[in-house]
Amino acid sequence: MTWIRWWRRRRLEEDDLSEELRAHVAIEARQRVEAGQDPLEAERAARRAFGNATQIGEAARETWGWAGVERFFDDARFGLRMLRKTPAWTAVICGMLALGIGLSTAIFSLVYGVLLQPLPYPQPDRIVALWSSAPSHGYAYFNVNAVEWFHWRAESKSLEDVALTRPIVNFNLTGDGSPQRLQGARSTWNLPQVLGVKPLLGRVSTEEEDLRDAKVAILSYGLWERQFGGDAGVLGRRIQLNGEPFEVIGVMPPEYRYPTSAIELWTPLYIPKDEVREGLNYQYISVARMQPGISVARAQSEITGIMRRMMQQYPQEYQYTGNDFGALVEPLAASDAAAVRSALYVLMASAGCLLLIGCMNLGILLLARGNARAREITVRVALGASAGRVRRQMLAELFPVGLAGAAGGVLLAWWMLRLLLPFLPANTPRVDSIGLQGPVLAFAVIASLAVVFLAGILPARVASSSQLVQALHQQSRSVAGGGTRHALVVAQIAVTIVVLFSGALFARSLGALLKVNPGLSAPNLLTMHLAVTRAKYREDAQVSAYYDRLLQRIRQVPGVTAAGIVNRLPLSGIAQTGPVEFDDKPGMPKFDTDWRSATPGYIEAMGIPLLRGRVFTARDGVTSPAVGLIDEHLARRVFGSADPVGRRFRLWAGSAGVGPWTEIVGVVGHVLNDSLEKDARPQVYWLEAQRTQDRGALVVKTAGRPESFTQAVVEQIRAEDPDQTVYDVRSMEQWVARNLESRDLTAGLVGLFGVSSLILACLGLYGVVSYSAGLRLREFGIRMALGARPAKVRGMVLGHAAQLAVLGSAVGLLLAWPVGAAIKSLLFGVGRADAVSLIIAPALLIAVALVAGLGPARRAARTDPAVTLRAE
Amino acid sequence: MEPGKLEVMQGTLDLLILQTLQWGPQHGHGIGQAIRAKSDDLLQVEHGSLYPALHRLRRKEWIESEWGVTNNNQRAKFYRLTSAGKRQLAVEESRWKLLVKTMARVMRPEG
Repeated sequence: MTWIRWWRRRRLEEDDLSEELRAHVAIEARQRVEAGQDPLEAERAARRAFGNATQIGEAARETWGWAGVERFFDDARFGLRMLRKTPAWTAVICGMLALGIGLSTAIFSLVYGVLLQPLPYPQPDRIVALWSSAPSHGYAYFNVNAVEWFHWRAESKSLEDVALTRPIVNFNLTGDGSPQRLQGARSTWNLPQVLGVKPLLGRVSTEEEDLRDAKVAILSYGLWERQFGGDAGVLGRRIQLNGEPFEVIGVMPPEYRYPTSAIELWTPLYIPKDEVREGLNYQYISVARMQPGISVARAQSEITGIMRRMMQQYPQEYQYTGNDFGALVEPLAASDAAAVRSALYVLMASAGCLLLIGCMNLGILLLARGNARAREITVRVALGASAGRVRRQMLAELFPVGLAGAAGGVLLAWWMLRLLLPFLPANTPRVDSIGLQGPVLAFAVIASLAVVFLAGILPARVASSSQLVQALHQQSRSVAGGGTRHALVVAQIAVTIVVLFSGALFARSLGALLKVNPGLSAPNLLTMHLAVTRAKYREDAQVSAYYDRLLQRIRQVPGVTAAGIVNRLPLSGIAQTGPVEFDDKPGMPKFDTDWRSATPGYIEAMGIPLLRGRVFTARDGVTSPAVGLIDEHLARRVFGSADPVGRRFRLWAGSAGVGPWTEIVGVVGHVLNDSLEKDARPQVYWLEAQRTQDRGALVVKTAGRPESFTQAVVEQIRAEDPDQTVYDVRSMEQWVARNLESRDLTAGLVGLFGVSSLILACLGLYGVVSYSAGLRLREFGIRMALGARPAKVRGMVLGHAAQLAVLGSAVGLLLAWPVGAAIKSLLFGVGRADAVSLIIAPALLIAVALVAGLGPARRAARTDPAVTLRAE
Repeated sequence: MEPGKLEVMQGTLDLLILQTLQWGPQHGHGIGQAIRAKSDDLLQVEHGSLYPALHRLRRKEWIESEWGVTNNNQRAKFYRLTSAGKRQLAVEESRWKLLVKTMARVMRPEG
């Protein structure tokens, strides 16, 4: 209870000081009496000679050091009393502040959780992600291959160690209840060591286990809790994964979530000999720990050197990629948030603009209030308060407002986060760590106080410099700060224009994206994913026979009109890609293409148009001649107007070899395989039976709502194989919508910020216009007495509003130019200087501004000259 | 300020107080009076400066205070030099002498 002791000591010192000053006066009086003065007269004279005891006491107290703080709290308490006297005004500013703080705190908690919060590993700034990179081919970064990993590990001196992971591995967990599909990763033994995490239970795998493809598994904390009830006895147990027994050797702590928190299982990464080829099999992700004291730039330059040497060593393998091939080193935390980073920055900037507008608005309100209090302040100055003292007091009075704003803002942010989180794009990392943590709360409080004090500085200056005589003369009417007020309104409007303009750009990007034709027919299409248990279907032929049987069963479900399987759905963002070459075009460059393996029925079910030739049929199979389809883009680029049907192509992989020649049996429509926004490559389709994949996406065309067929389809699959897991069941429309998620969110939130800014700015405009109109009531009265029509007066007030709005819009449009450039890379289908957005933003603003001006205008026009003229 | 009176120069009040206290403990009123008397009523110490200065010096632990009784049997707070205060007095004195000498040289240059 130190503060109680402190308070007691403070009180004692206080008493001591007044006692001391009283004693001084007493001594003086006694001396005067001794000199022969009348006692009463002497007492009075002594007081006069001493001077202002309060002021002297205060000056002495100031030397104690705590005086400033104490006076601040006194002023804050006084402010609280003043605020209670004007509840409506207080409610408005607190509400406005809470809105601004709430929105920006919610956004900041996203930014903090996703981008700023350090990774939960020791010395997180030493952990980097490594990517392959070929920028001039349009791949800023992509997965790495085993050869690169070998070289990095062997040659790098700036990296302590590098771990390699195959991120998406499907494990069908059977034997413990109903079959489950788990997302796991195969990673090298050194991954826990690179991240700096020790297992919670048991051990991690060893290099030797990696090399012999040992059947051991490490569980995530989540899986261990959910599936095994957090039982320590799980160690040594055998679990059935993909039909094979795996021994559980360890459980990792909850913070271990590499590459994402969705991963529930890690098994040793076995790299088959034939996979170790230069320039091939880019299917891994890699993470490294830098040596202490090494910078990312340093590691980057070393890795760049290693890559250059590699390319000189294997010129043949890298001839396709050319010289522009390297590796990218970046901090892990930044790396996995790359997809959402820029959107988050845009949101943070919008929130900042909103705060700025709120701040200026508060400034305007405080200016008006300062005018209302001009007399009070003048009296204070007359009684000896210095300008600095008045300024400090006015700022201290705002302290309670700032605290209330922060509290309200935190509540609002909490509520908004609950609303927002489910809408975050699926690729947002660390969603579970988004929340109102300490730094986020600190942000709310600091932002709120900063806004309040910033808003208070101007009005406080204006108030403290108010001219004494003038203010006393002018009754309640002072026009101090008129210019400042107008400048603030114009600035507010300018910032609002910027937010509205960006909001319009994002909304129009979303609109453009909605109009994109993905090249398929999404309605009435059910999709789900299967991972084939290879322990059960060892031969490729067995897999395709199994797929055939599944499809036959599904096609018999009433209402199903077509069904097929493809290794990956369109718009999935991940692709198998590589060069292909054509039979009789030896001189032609190799074509970088998307590969898909499809069963008969897939093209029809997906609604991809057949342009020439035929699609795959039941007659095509494992033993029949190799057949393939190419898309219209590839057909046009390779064959021009000639008919490609009957020609042959094959995959080409440098010295690693080539695939079998495949006959083109048909040309199909181009489909957007990556996303609605990106359309990188033309496509080829292999027959699934001739290029088998372990993982398939089943697509079923239905005669009604696709969701209603889910159960019937899954029943048919289980009838064929009761252990078959099915996951990611969605209608194709949902799958397409997933592509719009992050745009939906950005456009929606920036739009929300735009509308909030608009409301705030127009509130400010309303306040200033109606205040100025109020000051001119006398003038209006005289005008109307002299014969001006109400419409004329109305026009004058509206004109004032329009003038401010137009001026602000003009400034705003100037600011919109660089802003457009800054967000250019986030736009889709619209330019940074999109004419529609450039018109919409000011038009909307000026319209709302005029509506806001309407109230004061009508009030002014209703002025009764007799009343206003007599009122003075 | 009445004509013929001097205001205590900024920064010299501390020196005057320390100087006064070297003859023994004194209360605030007495200090003010002593300074005035010694300067033949030329130096006027404002109470608004005197008390803050006393509190400031006490905070720096150059002087300490104690309640006591005056010759007239009135209660008063007496200030006394500490040993640190004595050292400080010596420092301030020599600094002051230097200042006076320098000022004199500047105001009436020799040669």
